[in-house]
Parts: sequence; C-alpha cells; structure tokens
Amino acid sequence: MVSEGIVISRQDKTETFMGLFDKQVTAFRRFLDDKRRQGIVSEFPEVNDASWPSDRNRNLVLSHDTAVELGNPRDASTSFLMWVNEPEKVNNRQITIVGPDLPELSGRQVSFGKIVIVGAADFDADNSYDRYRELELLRYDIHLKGYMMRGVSQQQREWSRVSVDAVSGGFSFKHLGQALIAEFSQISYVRSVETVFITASREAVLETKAIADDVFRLISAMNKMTEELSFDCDSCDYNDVCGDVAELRSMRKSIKNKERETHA
Amino acid sequence: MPESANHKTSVIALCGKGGVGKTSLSATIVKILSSDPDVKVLAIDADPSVGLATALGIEVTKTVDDIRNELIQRVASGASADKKQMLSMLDYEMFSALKEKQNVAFLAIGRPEKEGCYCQVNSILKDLIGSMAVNFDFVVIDGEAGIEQINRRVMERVTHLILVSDASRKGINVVQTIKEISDSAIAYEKAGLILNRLRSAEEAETLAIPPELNYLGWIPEDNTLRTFDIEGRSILEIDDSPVITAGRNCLAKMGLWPKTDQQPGV
Repeated sequence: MVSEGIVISRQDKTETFMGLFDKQVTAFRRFLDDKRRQGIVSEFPEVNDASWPSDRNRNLVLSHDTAVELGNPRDASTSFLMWVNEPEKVNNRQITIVGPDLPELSGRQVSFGKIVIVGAADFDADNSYDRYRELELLRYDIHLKGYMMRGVSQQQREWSRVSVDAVSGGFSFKHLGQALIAEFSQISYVRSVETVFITASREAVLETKAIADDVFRLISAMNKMTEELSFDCDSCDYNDVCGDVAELRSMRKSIKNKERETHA
Repeated sequence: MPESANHKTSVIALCGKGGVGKTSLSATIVKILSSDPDVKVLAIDADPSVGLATALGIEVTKTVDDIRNELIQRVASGASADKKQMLSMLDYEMFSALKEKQNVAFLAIGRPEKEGCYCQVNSILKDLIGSMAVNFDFVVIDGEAGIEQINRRVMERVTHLILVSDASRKGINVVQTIKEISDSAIAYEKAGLILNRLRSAEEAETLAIPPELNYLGWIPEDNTLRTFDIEGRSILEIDDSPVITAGRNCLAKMGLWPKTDQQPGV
C-alpha cells in the first residue's frame, strides 16, 4: 500500500531500522576497550553454571544485614539497556565486570553501573516501542535471595544491596548476570544478551553516564511520539534527536501513517 | 529467621486520645520488639508532627507525603510515566525515605492524604507500604490523635490494635469509640487496652474498664523515660526500666512477645 510515499515496506523497515543504538553501543565498546587496557575488566563468556535461589517475598535487605551496597542515591549510579538488530554483535551469555566483583567489595558502598545489551531480530518501526517496554521492565524483574534492588528507569538509576549471608554464600555478579540473561533469553525475539557491571569507581560509572543520557534521549523521543501522537516537530523538545536518528524518523512516519489510515 | 513461606507480619497500631503518651509507648514497643536481633521492625509515624522519629532518635528527611507531592508536581509539569514506571519510581523513593537503625526501619507518613484526590497515587503508596511491610516481622504504627485515623489507608492492614488511654474517663470514652469504629472498619485479629502513665494499680481499678476493651495492663510513670524525653535521647538506648517490663507483659498478653514461629499476623 502506498500513501503519499511514507509507507515503509517490510524490507525498508528492516534496512532502515538496523541500529537505533548503534552509536551508543559503539561508544560503550570503546569504554570497555579503554578499561581492558587499564587491566580492570573480568570477562566470563557463556556463563550457565551460576544459578542462585530466588526469593520473591521478604527480600528487603536492611543496612545492618548488608555486605555490599551498590548505587546508593548518594553515589553515582547508572543502569540502561540497548539493543542491536544484529544478534552476532552481542557476546551472547557473557558477563563482564569492570572493577571488583561482590566478594572483593564486602563491607563497602560503591558507585554502580549495570548495562544490558540485547541482540534481537526484526526490530522495526512498528514494534520497537512495545518491545522496548517489555525489555525495560525485565531489567527490574530480578528476585534473588539476599539481593534487593530498587530501580527508577526515568533517572536511569539502580540501587541495590547484597546481604552478608548472600556474599558469604558465594553470591557474585556471575549469579546476577546469569539471572538477568535467563530473563531476557525467554523472550522470543531475543537472540543474544550480555550484561556489564561497573564497580571500579565513581568516575568509571560517570563515564558511561553520557552514553546513558544519549540512550535516555532516544527513549524519551520514542515515548513522546508514541504516547502523545503529536506530529508538530517544530515545537518538539526532541526535534534534534529525531533529526540525528533515522530509526526515530521511520517510527514517526509509521505512526503518522497509521493515524491517517485510522482516520481515512 | 523463619523461612518466608511461614512468615507472618504483625501490624500493630496504637490509637487513643491526644496526650496519653501513644508516641512514647510506640517507641517503647519498638524497643522491646527490636531487642531480638533476629527480628526486623518497621516503625511508621502516622502523626504529622513526627514525634516517633524524635523518640527513636531518627532524623526525618523525607516523608511519604513529600514523595506524593513531588510526583503530583512532576505529573502536573507534563512529565509522563505509565503506571509501572510510576510504581518503580515511587518504590525507589519510598525506600530512600526509609531510615534505618540496626534492625529497625522507620517511615514517616507526613500530612494525611487528601481523600478523593490523586487516588491513583494514594492507592499505589498504600500498596507500597503494604508490600514493604511484609518484609518485616513487626510493623508498629503510631497513629495521630483522634478517631479519624481509623479511616486512613495505612491502617487497613492492622492485625493488632492497641488502645491507649490515661487514667481519665475521657481517655476511656475515646478508645471505646475508636474500638467501635474499628470493629467495622478494620479486620484486625486482636485489640487490647493499655493504660499509660499510671501512678499505681489502684488508678486502673477505679476506672471500671468495659470488658470489650480487653484490658492488657498498665504502664507506670517513669523518670527514666521522662529524662530521655527531656534530653532528646532515643528510647532505643534505654537498657531496662519499669516501662519496658510492663510493656513486655502487655505484649505477651496479645501473643506478640516473645516472638515465636507461631506469631500472629498476616
């Protein structure tokens, strides 16, 4: 179907929607390369032997039961998710830690970063928003015994505590990473997942904050066009974001076209 | 600690006429219950004057009302968020408002909610307080003076209603009214009366307490508590006193002390 030349064919959609977050993923890979050169990165490829009991109830960890506190509101914290439409570009089931793991952090309160990169198939202008919402909520759906997490996606922050019992029982980022990877892997269109945890320093977490801010701008632009159905680009706060990102323009065209079809 | 499947949370609310010492008795109960290091206690100050915070030596920086107002302002200024995002944000804010001292956590409600306004926010906050409460063995709610407190959402999950009065007929009349309203408004398990700041057992005997109030016992006037109050020291620091002993006896009559695996609650 053709309507004023703005309908995107299935093939066009796939072609133009290759990588909403390509720029941010590249920047993040550069950050990891830099940290590798500093010798502070531990990488665990294809982890699948680190399960931990779940606990959906009574999972509040008070400070006097806490061995490690990550991303307290007084510290730096960042947490975000990016996806790519080329699953092979994601190191499937890999867990990367920039800085010390939980056992080495026992007794400390540190700045924290948690980044999830998902490789998925067939993200396009029509399904991106719904898929983003589904994936975004999964990041907070982790209930492990002795691990308490509070997250606020609008601020890209995450605050968690790991109990003394959990750390003395051997709980590490491998367990947390595997639980996250397992959650995402259940989604039919997800082909690969990797997780990165940052505990090295406040500065290291803040380095990724710029990438998080970029990701948030893209997400905010997507939210605005989907929820508000306003196509007055001149007055939109995210005009510059859509100007830079072809995938957002494709989404906008697709939404606008659907609106026209509805009212035709 | 018992496993989560067997766990129950006892939600204890103290109600009574203004000035009968509900706040110091609430703090005393928190002190008694938290003396077991394996027990987690959540103290909720539902009185806008946040007296319980002072009695426990806790400085309040954020109340549930502050969180509600911040959210309402954010929404009014055009910030969009769906219900799940709002829930996670409020949960984060609520946890950041929680003050902790060893095995005691403290939450101040602030000003009462405006009934009928912003009901979605109020409803989420109620659910969050409820979901936070189940993580604790005991929740102790210091209610503001007056019977209107019974209608507050935060009281809906109460399992143990402690009616507090002094040695006055007026105090007894107020708790009698509270009990009557509570019987229809709250599905509590047990209710009982504690007479506070009495000089002798004879004072209690002269009051002719109605049997339906389930008289649990009396708490003596205590100079240690007075001194702590004057000096602004936390009741959690008291080693022992006649007030603590009498409080333990009253809690034992409600089956709340000492804590057992068969703890009553929800």
